[in-house]
This record gives sequence, C-alpha cells and structure tokens, in this order.
Amino acid sequence: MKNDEKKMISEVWGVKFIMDPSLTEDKRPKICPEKMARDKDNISRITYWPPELEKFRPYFNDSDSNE
Amino acid sequence: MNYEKYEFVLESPDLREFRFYSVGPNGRIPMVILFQQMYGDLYNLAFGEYDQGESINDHGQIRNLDRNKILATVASAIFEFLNRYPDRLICFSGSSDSRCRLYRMAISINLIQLSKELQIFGCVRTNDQSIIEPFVKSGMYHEFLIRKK
Repeated sequence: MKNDEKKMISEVWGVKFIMDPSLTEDKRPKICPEKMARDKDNISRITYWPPELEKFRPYFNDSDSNE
Repeated sequence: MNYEKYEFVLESPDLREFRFYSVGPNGRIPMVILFQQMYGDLYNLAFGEYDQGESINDHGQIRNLDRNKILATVASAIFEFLNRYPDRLICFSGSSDSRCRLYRMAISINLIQLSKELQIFGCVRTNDQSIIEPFVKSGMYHEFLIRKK
C-alpha cells in the first residue's frame, strides 16, 4: 500500500471514517486563539471537578491563571 | 443517533482532525472538526467551515440547512476520537447562549443512546465560578465535557 493511500478505518453510527495520511499536523488548521482563550478561561473558573474527572483537572498558578 | 449524518469523513492518522463536506442549497462546503490539546489529556473540540489558512472558530453560521446532520456527524467523530483515546476528556462550549442551548438540546434528545458509551458532564455557572456535574436534561450548561465510559 502506498503511504498516501486512503483506507477505511471504522464505522460509527453509520459514518464511515477513512484515514487520510495527507492530513498531517503541519498543515492542520488551528482553533482560533480567541475561542481557545475563552475555553481555557472557562476551565480555569471550574471550582469543582467530580472525582472521576479529577485527574484531568489543570492546576493554575498566579502567573498563568489568565491564560 | 438516529439522525442523518454525512456518510464519509476523512480522518488524520492521529484522529485530531476530521474533514467532510456539508452539502445543501449553498453548495458543497468543506468542514473540519478539530481536537486540540488544552492541558494534559484535556482536549478542546471545535468544528466549522474549513478555509485554508484560517483558524477555526465557533461563530460561523451553518449555511446549508443541515445543522442536525452536521452535529450528528460531529458526535460520531467524538466517539471515534474517544475510541482511540479512551483516557482523554473532550470539552467544548457554545459561542453564544443560543449555541449553548442548541448543544444542550442535541445532547438531551440523544442522551439515552450517547450515555450507553459516553460519560457526559455539564458546567453550571454560579457568579464567576462553575462546577461540573453529570449532564441532566434540565441543566443550564455553558460548557460540556465528554469522556468514554
């Protein structure tokens, strides 16, 4: 198989997912900085994380609390 | 998820990028779904029209009268991502109150089926803070968190 060949990987709820090797990280669009900043700010304001999510909880110090 | 979906979706080898076309009265519009790392195993979800060189925001209008079809396709991509990475947590929010309401409704309508394989949480705001709780249909959430069961 060629490296750039597409192949079907899986099917979820009727959607066929096809792996495309040309979708590489260096060509990937980014989430706009304003949205990312807003979502990071929202995350930083969460004061209670349930125990099952505690391991995902980011900890902020004073210098990055406004990231 | 009994909604109609887009049948074919391209995915990057690392599953952090998905591509498909929205098809409708305004033509064939390239769409992208992104999972971008925020902190550790916490990933931010965004989707929208793909315009080369532009970043993806969540203010764009869905122009092809296919809102539910796009949301159902995004839900499938979330599942695909978490199937590969069951130890990651996805978070997303609406850019406006109406967009948050749309996401709440979409999750609520499909909650029984989604909950078979996913854990869904919502963030409830109180003043300047918020807490995470398991998603319930009546919750007034502005942010959403999803992980694999």
